[in-house]
Amino acid sequence: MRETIGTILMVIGGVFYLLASIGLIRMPDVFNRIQASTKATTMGNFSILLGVGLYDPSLLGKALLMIIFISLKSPIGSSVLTRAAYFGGAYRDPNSKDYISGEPNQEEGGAA
Amino acid sequence: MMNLAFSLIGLSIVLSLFRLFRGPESVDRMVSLDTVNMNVIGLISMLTLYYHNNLFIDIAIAYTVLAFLETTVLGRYLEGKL
Repeated sequence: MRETIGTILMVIGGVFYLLASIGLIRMPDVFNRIQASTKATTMGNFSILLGVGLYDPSLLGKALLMIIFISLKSPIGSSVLTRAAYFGGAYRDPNSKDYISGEPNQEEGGAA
Repeated sequence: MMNLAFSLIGLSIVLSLFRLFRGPESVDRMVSLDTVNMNVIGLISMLTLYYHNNLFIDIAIAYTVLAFLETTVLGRYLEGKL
């Protein structure tokens, strides 16, 4: 029973990884790609580590430690990448709106 | 059933490498690398159960710390603040 729940959680995590990769390919913009890939990958990691911890209870402590560390690391990493993209003047999709500088799109003002 | 999870992780790594080769900017490649790193963390954690060897979960913890350092340091370098 415990192994079955752990395996199902691992498959759910794999599905979330696949959704992150599809979002990485399909999204039109650097910022959309960061948002799609980072959130889905964090959720997939939580699910897979919880599944590993349920499958073998002697690994549950280290799995929870990794879950805590990933929940700290993932927002910091995505924030650093987004800062690098924004201040580096990356391409923005014309349909997106810049809420920091207030400019409507790429043609009127640029991303920097 | 666990083989299905392994194949899903492998497929997502291959799909992420597409953006690593194709991405028009450096940050795109960094995002792809971050995604591949997270996938490899889950893969190493599941190899613990596949090989019945508890050493792999320690390797996964060390890999998590190294992936965090890599993303942060290279992101700051791309920003120009390093």
